[in-house]
Amino acid sequence: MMAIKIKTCCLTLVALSMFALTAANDPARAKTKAAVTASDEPERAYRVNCGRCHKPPDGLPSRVTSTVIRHMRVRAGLTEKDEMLIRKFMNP
Amino acid sequence: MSRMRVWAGGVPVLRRLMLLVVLAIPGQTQSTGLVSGGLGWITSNDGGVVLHQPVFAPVFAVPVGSRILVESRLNIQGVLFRERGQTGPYTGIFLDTIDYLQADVVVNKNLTLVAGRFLTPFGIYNERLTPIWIHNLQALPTIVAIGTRTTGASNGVMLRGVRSLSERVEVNYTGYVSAKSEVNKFEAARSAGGRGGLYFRDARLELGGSYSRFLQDRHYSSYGVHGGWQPPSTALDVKGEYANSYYGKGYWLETAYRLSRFGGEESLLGRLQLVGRGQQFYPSHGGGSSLPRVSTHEGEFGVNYYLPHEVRLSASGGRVFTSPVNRNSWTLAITYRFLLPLWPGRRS
Repeated sequence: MMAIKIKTCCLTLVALSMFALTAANDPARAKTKAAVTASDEPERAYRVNCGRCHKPPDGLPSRVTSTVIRHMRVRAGLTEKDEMLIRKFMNP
Repeated sequence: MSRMRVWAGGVPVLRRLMLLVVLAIPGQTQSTGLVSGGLGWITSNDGGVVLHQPVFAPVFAVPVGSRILVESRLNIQGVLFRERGQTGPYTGIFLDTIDYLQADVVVNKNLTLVAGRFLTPFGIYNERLTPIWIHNLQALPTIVAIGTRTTGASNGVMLRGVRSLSERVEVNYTGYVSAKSEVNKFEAARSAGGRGGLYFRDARLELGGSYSRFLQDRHYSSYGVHGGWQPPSTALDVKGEYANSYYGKGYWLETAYRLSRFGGEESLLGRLQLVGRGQQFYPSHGGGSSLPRVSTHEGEFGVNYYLPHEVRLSASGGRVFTSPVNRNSWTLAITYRFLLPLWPGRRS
């Protein structure tokens, strides 16, 4: 009985995943790989790295962005290139 | 002659030292120190036992020169509960801990040395998902105690880094050693371990594994694997961990989906996130050591609503299956994420 309930939970999780994937035409996010240009790179680096753990912040005071990025270099494992791109995105 | 050589060689060293001191003065640094973190109130009911928990968890980060960052996170928390579980007057306890207090020294672009008290790098949850404003469900996964005993933090040194193997793939690596400590607020176990992982940027897929060796009292090994996936074209977030130790093994798998396709992330519906998590734990050798002593299976569903200004409302409910009794659980929470400069400074 319990195994059935657990399987039901797992199936629900899978169903939720499938729903999300079939709903993949999210206009705010659907940017094809071909459409990614050099000017998109800073934003892409920001979304690819920050979004792995949390919702990106609404905004940051410009004078702390460097400290935030140095903190995230250790916590999230940012590459040197991503550090540079995210800094550029946050302080254009 | 030799004195001249010493003097000539000493000038750059003195200059560097003076520069380091100047850069460490507030307002003169390349960037400003900050205080960030989470503030929240969490009310939970686990089988009829209600807990109210106000939480304040500030993070301080202070750059020293261009290569050193000193950072710390405190956890200040109250726990209010009824004296006899489900009845009686309310009473409470106060908890304050130092989650980490560390200096991060950039050795080179691929390596950082961390010294002090740091979060034990085992899996992804303990290091990256514990802040109350980050995790999608407020209840911690059962297996978070595996590989992170005794307090989730270690006192010692850690080397960590990340390296791009190609434009699409990164490898990350961490190794640490920790000394035993029973000093108040700095409790830690003697242990050593490491973690490695791959991150596929285009797919936004992360896979990795962890190992740790507990080196006091009963010596034993823990190992685990973790994964995370945020498909680029949708607002789906899938994460999971499996871990195994002398005291048991288990896994959790979590899926979250934000309804941002309905008008974007700022729309009324787009601020809503649906979350589901399943987890199972099987004890070995009687379990214990912060792990359940009986097999535990749990399914939990929740919703998060992201209000403007970094405020989030959360509600979740689940069912816990154990022998001999099953029970329901639910959680309500409000969290706020804040970030402020520690002192006035120039734009970085």
